Amino acid sequence: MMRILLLLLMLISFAPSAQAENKALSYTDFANIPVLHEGRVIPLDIFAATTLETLSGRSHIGTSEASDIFADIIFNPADGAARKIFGLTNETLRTRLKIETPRRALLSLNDLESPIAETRAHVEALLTRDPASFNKDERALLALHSNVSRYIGLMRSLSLILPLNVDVPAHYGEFEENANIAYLDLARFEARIMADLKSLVSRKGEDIARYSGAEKKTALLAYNLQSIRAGGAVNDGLKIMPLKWDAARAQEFQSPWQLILSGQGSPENADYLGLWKGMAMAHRADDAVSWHAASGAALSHITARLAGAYPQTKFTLERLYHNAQPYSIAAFLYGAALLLLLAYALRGVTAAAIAAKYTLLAGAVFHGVAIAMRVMILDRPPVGTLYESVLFVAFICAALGFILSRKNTNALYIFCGSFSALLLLLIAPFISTGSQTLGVLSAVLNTNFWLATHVLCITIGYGVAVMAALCAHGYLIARGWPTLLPKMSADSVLQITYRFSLAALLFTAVGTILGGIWADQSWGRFWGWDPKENGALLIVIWLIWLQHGRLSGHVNAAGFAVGIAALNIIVALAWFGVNLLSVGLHSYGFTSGLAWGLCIFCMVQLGVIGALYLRTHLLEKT
Amino acid sequence: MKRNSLIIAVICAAGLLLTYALDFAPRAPKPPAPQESAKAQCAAANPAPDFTFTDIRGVQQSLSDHQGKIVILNFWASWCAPCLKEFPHFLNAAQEYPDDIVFIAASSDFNAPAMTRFIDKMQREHPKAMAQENVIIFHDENQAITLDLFQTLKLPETILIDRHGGMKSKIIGAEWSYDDLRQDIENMKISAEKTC
Repeated sequence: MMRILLLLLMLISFAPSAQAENKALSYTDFANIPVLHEGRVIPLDIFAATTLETLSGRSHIGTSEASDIFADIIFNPADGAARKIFGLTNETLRTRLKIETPRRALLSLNDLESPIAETRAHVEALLTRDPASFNKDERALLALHSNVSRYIGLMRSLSLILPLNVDVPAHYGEFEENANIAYLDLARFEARIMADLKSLVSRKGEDIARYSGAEKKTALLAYNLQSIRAGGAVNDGLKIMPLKWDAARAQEFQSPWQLILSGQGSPENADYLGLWKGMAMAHRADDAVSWHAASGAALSHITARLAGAYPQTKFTLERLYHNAQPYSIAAFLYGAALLLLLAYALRGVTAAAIAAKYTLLAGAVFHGVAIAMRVMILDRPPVGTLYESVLFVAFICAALGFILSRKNTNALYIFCGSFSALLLLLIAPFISTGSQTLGVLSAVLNTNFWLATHVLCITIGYGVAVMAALCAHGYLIARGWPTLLPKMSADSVLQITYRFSLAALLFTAVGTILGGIWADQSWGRFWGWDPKENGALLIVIWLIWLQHGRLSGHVNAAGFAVGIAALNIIVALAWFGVNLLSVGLHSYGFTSGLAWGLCIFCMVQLGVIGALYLRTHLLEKT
Repeated sequence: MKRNSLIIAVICAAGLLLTYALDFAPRAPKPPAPQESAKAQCAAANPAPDFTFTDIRGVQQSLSDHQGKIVILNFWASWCAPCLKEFPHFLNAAQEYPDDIVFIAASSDFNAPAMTRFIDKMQREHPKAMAQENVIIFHDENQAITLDLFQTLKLPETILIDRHGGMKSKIIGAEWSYDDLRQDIENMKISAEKTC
């Protein structure tokens, strides 16, 4: 409640801008200004787009650019309470908060003021609980509060330099009318104003009715300054100021308030903040010429200071990655390949299968380019997070599907590649921790050499194992329904399954051993029976067991295929399942909410494998 | 089988290439470290902006007048308790290194008599140091230098400026010992001798 009151007071304190609409301004330079977000320096327009996406739950708000809306939020906070920006689609929460607007309509801070105040106690109680115990509605409530808090933080982020709607008693200085007095202008008098207030209270007490007109002005000014400073002290939403004095933190940025209140101010940052004030004033006045000059000067200033540490080419690449949505294109192409295969299966048109093969190739190319872009943007191999590993395994599956079918246009391999890649790309967004999926790396993985050896090796192993399992499904189908895959013999599919299983064994075994060496270097022990280590070992043991069973003749072809088909379950448990345990040193992978999905997947897989085996078995008997 | 071995070899080679590209490949040259830069030329790296002031003795001077000496630029006020705690340390340093350092103290006091009272107290307690020419105190009444130029809001803050006018480091707050300051001064002396 106190924060809301502070916000309202702050909004009253901010002077409204001369113009509300800013349609004629160019945001090219503004968009390229660097900002630190989730441990990475990114261009401001990407920060704006991801922030607005988090708040609204949609990629676009109206027809305005994200930079335009974002500039309005930070430069014109007085208009912020009425801006429709929050998305709330959870029906239970909407009913509880008595929100009657259409489900897709955005809400403003004014709309949410009462609901937020009414649910604050509930949120405070929730914060004392284990996050794993939250249900969907509780998570939605927490997300709403978090979004409101984030939005308020952004509105306050430049309160140091934005004009205030305050009346300054004449004895503190001669300010011209419309002088656009900001907090920083008044900060030089703050000690004096506070001393005057203290003296006033000691002489006349705290009852403002006993004060003269000038004394009331002093008291109100002191209160305003204290409120703005109190809000600023916790404001870290817009990290645009590079640190100067601490060499160990040279890559860090702080918010303007953090910078000044932590004593990290410097002449360069004074100049830079001055340029931000110039942008703010130009934006508020809708003055295109001044805006262009100020935003250009700010970009030149920060680019010169960072001396190539954050090259604009990388920003361009990041923007392209963000705007092009290459994984969506790849997923679309994989889906198209599956549809073409369906046409082939129904009509028997070979051209459809060939088209499916090249559609799969196109998807894999987009997918590969997207992964390469991630590598260039993040300066590390593409397997640092659970989300990235899913993307990478999907690519391995698609690439293997195309490689196997490139000569003979084999529908089964095209299907395996397209289906697994599409399924994994559809799962990936649910595993990503937020809208900004180019996340910073957990410290435990922050070694490029080991990421490119151990983790890459293991994830390639996962990809090959998934393909082996799908081929094993294909073998069982070929045995159960011999007419369904007319151009392939079941034995040739089994042969490929066998080769895939050997390759999977090679990659997972080597990856597991490399992991042990890394663990020895990082944690001082080769093996610690950590769930993740056990998971990797489980895949290796499963594959070795099946290979030995096959070689020794204890497991027949169908049994081998069933075992390899079940490898999907083993991989899923080793890859995602162990993360649900929330124990062990591999804390980078912990996720929540996957348990049911994983459980359903395992049950469906068991059902499918059982049905396929039963069919094969019955067919052989008859 | 031969073909599959080739595929595996290609994947391994790609992994190794990736490792090389990310860890060992030559990267764009980083900007030279301050010391290397200073070796190339004695011009100040990270130059402190120049400013002019009139000290409490009535002498008008600029920061640039003191180039060639290490400058301890301290932002303080008489109402700031930590500022008063650290002030004697700077006086000691000025006394210990009379030929090497200049101590410039910019007071943000809104109340000039309060500042004068504190200076009088220092003159009584440290008469020799306060009488030295390398102890310079001025009143930055409107904080044009403290706040507008050096962006100092949280007192006390102190910037160490080398002999070439370059800002070397900042001391934030008063939680430091005289030995820390002495070490910084010695490092700056050595650094200056090495580079020029």
